[in-house]
Amino acid sequence: MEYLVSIAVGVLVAGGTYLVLRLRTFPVILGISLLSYAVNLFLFSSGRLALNLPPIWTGDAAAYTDPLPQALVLTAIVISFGMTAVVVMLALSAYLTARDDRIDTRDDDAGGRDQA
Amino acid sequence: MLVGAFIGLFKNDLKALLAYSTVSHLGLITMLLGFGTPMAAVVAVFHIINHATFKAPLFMVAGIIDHEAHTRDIRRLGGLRHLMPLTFGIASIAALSMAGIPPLNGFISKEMMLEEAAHTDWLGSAWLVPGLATLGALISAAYSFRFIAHVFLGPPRHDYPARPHDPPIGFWIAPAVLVILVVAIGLQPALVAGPLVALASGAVIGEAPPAYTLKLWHGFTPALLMSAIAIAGGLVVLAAYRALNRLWLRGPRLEAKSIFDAILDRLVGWAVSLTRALHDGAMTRYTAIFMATVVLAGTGAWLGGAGPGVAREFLPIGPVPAIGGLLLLVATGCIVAFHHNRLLALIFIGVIGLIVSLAFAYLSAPDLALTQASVEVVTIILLLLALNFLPKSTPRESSGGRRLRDGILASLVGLGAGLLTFQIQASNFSQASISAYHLANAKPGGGGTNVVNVILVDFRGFDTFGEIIVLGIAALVIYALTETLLAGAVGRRLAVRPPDTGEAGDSHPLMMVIATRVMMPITLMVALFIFLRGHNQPGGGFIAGLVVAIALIMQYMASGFDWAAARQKYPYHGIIAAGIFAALLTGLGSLVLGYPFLTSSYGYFKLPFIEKFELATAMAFDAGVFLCVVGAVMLALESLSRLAHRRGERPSPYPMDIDPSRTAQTEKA
Repeated sequence: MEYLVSIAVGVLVAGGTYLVLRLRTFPVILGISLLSYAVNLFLFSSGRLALNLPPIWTGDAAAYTDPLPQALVLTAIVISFGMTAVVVMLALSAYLTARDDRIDTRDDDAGGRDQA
Repeated sequence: MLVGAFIGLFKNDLKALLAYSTVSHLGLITMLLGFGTPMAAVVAVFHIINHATFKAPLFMVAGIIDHEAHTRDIRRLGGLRHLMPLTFGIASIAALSMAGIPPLNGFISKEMMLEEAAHTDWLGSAWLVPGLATLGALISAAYSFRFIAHVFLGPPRHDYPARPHDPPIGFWIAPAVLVILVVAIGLQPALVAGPLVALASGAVIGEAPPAYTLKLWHGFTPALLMSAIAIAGGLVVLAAYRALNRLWLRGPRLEAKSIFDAILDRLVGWAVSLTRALHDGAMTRYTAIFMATVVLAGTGAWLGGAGPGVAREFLPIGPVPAIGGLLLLVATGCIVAFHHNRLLALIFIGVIGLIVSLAFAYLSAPDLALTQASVEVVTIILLLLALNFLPKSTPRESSGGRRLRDGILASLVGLGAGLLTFQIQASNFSQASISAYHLANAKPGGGGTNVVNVILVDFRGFDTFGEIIVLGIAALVIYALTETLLAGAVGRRLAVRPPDTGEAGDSHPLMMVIATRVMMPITLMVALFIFLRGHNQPGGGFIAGLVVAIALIMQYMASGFDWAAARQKYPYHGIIAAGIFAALLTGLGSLVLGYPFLTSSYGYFKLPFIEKFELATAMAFDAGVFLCVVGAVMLALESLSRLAHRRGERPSPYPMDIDPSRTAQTEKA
């Protein structure tokens, strides 16, 4: 199982990195989403994986899952939605203002297209 | 030390000469501290005191001469001995001390410095440091002699700018007192300066200083020989000063300011060219450089340490997880391959999110699975809303070489992340995790058995409080951006854009409207259930908030924005604020009762007809989280939707575009 999670994190990071390096905003947003899946999985796995361990305290179980990374990842998931939403909005307003969704802008075509 | 001494030697301004000699002496003190031995530190402290006692009168003398003769130019001075005998006496004692002539204090500390230098090896040579130290002492002696000889000795001149004579007592009393100290420390070093040196050097070293005695006569040591060489050499330099000065003036001028400026210019030039090369305005380039740097740093760390190897037993991979993993890998590959088709890429994102939430469920983290699944829904809706305005496909514009470069870089980053994850999985905790504390105290301290939720609303409540505020700010940022867009030229353009082609004839289908309306109360009830059980079973404010948000979004999607917005009475900003205030007041409540901020308490209550139940203040906090999540998610999505509004569109009075009962009525009429 550990192999599987490690490979999944690695592949998600690789795919996310590749997409983040693309030239348009939308693939970059997709890449950021992939990277946040990978980071959440990575943080979660730092508590070590556990199968069929109780996540709820009962007082008599021999072992429990590690609650701390879970609590951290839970907020991370929600916050990363907030951040994705902001990035999407930025990309959208940049596109609507400049009618161009390219990531790399030169100084000469910044902002000038709206009037054109 | 040497550079300062050489420059000082050839300065004609008295103050410049003294200033460069100070540079040289500071170099000497730094050198002593750099030797790193306790004894050298003692000598450094001692020399600081001595330097103060002889350099201060010299500066004052320079001031007196300037005041009396109206010049500080050594070339215009000389023979002042006859005109200012008192000043001459003060100046010569101080200058001889600086030259290191016994029995003055400068001699003692210079002697001790040479002694320390004599047993310091540097760059494999036993002679380098002693030789350089002697040279420094020699030049120091030379400029001290020059100070005396060229200013005071020689025949009196008749072309001074003003007629000099000894100044009144107010001028010379201060340097005189210091010069008395020079002599006193020279004759009785242990008595006069001993306690101060012991105290100060003890503070410099950090422990008691080594055993030493401050005394005038150390016997015939190598240092004495070096001292003698320095003094003799100093006299020789003075005698040959005219010739040397011509040589000096012919050579390149060593000016500290120009050296400093040149070095600074060069550094700034390098920095500018480096920055220009790295930051050329292309964001992909920054990102690529950043990723490459991370890979390099990670590789360095990986090679630098010995991994602990595999210290844990691995869990087996069942057939279902294997299929799930395969799906995730294939979906990731498909996104990379087909990301040019943006809608298709969204479907693959959905697959990945689903697999990740299933993985959380499988790996004993039900809270995470619920959160991931519900966030997945709102994320996809968000991206779909954005795609409504963005181009539906990404053009292929990267060159093959660039794709190869990015592919290699991405593979390396992925490999690093995978190896790191694996290595963490394979090793045990390096120290006991604090999770055990949380597990042990969740029920007795926080009153809940869902440890994850108790951590969120109780143990780390302050953290969560900050996070919901961040979420609220993110939503407000989106709202503000939308407002700006709508108010400007973009908003006017969007309002008159042509209708989308291929629009469905029935944009609010009957089946969907009915289904979502039936589901609405059920969904709200589920959310309430999830919220209430959150303290003891998987659930809680975050998840409940997301579920409610989804239920509301479904109304917007099915019945139309205007219909839903007309029935939404509370502005989402207000809901965010209410959530944050609820959380804040819960925290302040404990403050009022004399406990630290956000301390939670709980109790059990019994009402007729239902079972005994628990109420915790943490639930009020969780309600704040719930409200904030609902408000933030809804505000973000609603803002994006408002961009779609066209000018002239009237909200339809009917929730459904095609309504059989309405058609029947019109037919009847």
